[in-house]
Amino acid sequence: MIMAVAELLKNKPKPTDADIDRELTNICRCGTFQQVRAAIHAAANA
Amino acid sequence: MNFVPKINRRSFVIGTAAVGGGLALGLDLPLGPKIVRAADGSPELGVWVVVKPDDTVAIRCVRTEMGQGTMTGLAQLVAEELGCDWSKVTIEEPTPGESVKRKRAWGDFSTGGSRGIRESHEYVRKGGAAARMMLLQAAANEWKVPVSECSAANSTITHKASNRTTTFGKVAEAAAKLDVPKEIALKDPKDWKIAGKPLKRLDTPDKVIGKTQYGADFTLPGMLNAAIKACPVHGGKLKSIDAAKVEGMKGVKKVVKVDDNAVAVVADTWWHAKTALDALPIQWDTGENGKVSSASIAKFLEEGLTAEKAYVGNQVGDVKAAIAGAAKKVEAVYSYPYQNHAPMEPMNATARYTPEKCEVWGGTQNGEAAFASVLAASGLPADKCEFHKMMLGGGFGRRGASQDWVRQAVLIAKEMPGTPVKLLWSREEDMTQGRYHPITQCKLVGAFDKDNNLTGLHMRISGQSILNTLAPQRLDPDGRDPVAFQGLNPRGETAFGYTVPNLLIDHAMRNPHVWAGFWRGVNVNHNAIYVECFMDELAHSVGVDALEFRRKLMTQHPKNLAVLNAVAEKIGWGKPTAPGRHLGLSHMMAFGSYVAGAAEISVEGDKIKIHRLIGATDPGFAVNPAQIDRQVAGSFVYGISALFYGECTVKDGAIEQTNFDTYNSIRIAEMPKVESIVMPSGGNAWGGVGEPTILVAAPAIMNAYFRATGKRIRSFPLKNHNLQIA
Repeated sequence: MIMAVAELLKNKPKPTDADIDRELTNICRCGTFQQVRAAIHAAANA
Repeated sequence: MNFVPKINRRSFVIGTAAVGGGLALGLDLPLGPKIVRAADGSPELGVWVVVKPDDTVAIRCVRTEMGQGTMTGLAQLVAEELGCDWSKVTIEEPTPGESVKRKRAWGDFSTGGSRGIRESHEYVRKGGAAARMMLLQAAANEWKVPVSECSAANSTITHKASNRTTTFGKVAEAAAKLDVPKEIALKDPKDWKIAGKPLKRLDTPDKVIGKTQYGADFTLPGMLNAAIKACPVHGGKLKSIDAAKVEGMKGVKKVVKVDDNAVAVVADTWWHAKTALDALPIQWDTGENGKVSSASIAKFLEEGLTAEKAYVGNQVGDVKAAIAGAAKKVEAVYSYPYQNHAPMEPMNATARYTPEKCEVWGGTQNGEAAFASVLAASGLPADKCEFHKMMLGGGFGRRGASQDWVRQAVLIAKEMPGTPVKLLWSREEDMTQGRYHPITQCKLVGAFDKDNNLTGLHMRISGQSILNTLAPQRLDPDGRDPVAFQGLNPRGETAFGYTVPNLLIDHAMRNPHVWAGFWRGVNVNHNAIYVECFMDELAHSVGVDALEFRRKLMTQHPKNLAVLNAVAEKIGWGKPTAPGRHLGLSHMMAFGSYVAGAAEISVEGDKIKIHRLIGATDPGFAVNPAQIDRQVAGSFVYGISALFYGECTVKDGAIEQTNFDTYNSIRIAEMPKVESIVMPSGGNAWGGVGEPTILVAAPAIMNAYFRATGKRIRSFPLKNHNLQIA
């Protein structure tokens, strides 16, 4: 998941929610999706 | 996703961030005459707290941290009573071997049933308070003032009258010489400053920089790797193998029979082990179970729906008479399938055995149970065994009650004394050798009088008992499985939230051969669907609003009602919805917490869009509200995955789903917006948070689906009805 996000941010430094939905297809059984989404936006805006 | 990783995941994570300072784990206690010291020589103040000269505080934690945040929550409780500076808190995890040596000084290691905090809050708080009292006394002694005049906060002790201060680190050595106090008063949670706050997790930084070590990451010098295959039909035996066929294959060191039902190949690399295992001719003796299918299991359970005998879980009045004399009767039959925990990290453990010492490293939800497995499998006494807990890539109940893979790892290592061996299950092994969410069916009958009052409710569950697989010794003397009635009991931490004048909830135990286990939420996953969907069916049958219908039956259940009202208000129940949007509700009590859910969905063809999903929880006390929010959202991912995709089917006695292509899990695009309401009501009872809210998602969504379409779905997952999550 972290590597997929790194790749996403490399190709698209300011991803939209739709970008995230399309590009991140990793499974997360613990269900951290809300936090992951928030973290991507936080990283993009850092 | 199009991204193909070109480098190792661990080296990537470590390489992209600075590695922080170390955290000393484990305990080696060279016991002095009085003072007990941690590994670095710092003194212990009671068993829960070690204070170092630089004021760093090491808080002990034996419940397993596996991403659910229990470690941080427990540390908050200790730190609250201790009065230390939160930024100086570190964690030490005593090993089960140390615990045994010290007569279980830290209590129960078991981390399941949402019990981490709710079952240890009192003694860990007392541990923190005792350490504070010792530190205060040491300072008072030094200053020769009454201890009652001293106060502690932020790791600093103050004597106001003389305007003197000192720090915990400066008096720790003197404090450690004092007796641990026995009379301890705890703070009123109203006065909490560290506990009750949404503090950041202590384990996050190490994870972000890739420093946290999972069981699957662990290596030792000279370590070999093992792949294993157990009889795909549970209960079956290994009949024969032709080891000679693979012994010459690249890297292969040994072919090992494990117990009477599995075979492992040990090789230099895991891939070599797995490749040889796949090539190994194996014959299984599956016995009669080899003929079992999902259809035959369904038939077996169906018979239980009307069987004369059943174990009683909750009984009020005379339900038979109420149904016989009903002016109106409503009936429905539901069913719920097997589910696999499917943690991201398959089962694994690394073992090193010699006749003098057997040590194992791996992830477990219960260090003591893992330790017991090491003892049993090695045949060595406790002082020659140790289990070292590693981070878990998911537990969800799979790594709790059964430590089957730990036993396997030790049995394999025992065949190669002195050589460390890491046993790692393949995904396929993990998918087919689970301890599955039990399979059940349920027949519900509701009776109304002529004025449409619900006079009777009979709920007959037919299906599998978890305890029958995992802990038959915990069954009641008459064979009843009390756990089957979670959320349905007359009283206690999983009490039924309705009052019906004539009520019967009973369980016809039908145990297929497939191994059952504790799966996050356990029996409330299906019990909540059965009760809460049927409540909507009953309300609909008499033309009463689903919320009003429930409220009438909940006057004696104010805490259930409070959470239900909270979600109803937040979702806008009773108010006009946006065009095409439909609402659904649910609630139950589980693991000591009252929980309720509300869903707002729209349906287009075969696609269900979940626009909002609200979870309310009253766990009595909220130690870290931010962490509870995340547990609510995380539980919904697990619950919704099961609702839409989750089903393990049986063919020729074996589980058919071997990977995520057939046992799917929702992705970030499918994740609904989750809003949580954390509403602790205090009192004497502490509820759990890891599991309870999982139960509200499915019935709330299904009740909304009925309102959207007029169709009531009573079997799961929804993929079998060609329904998809949008």
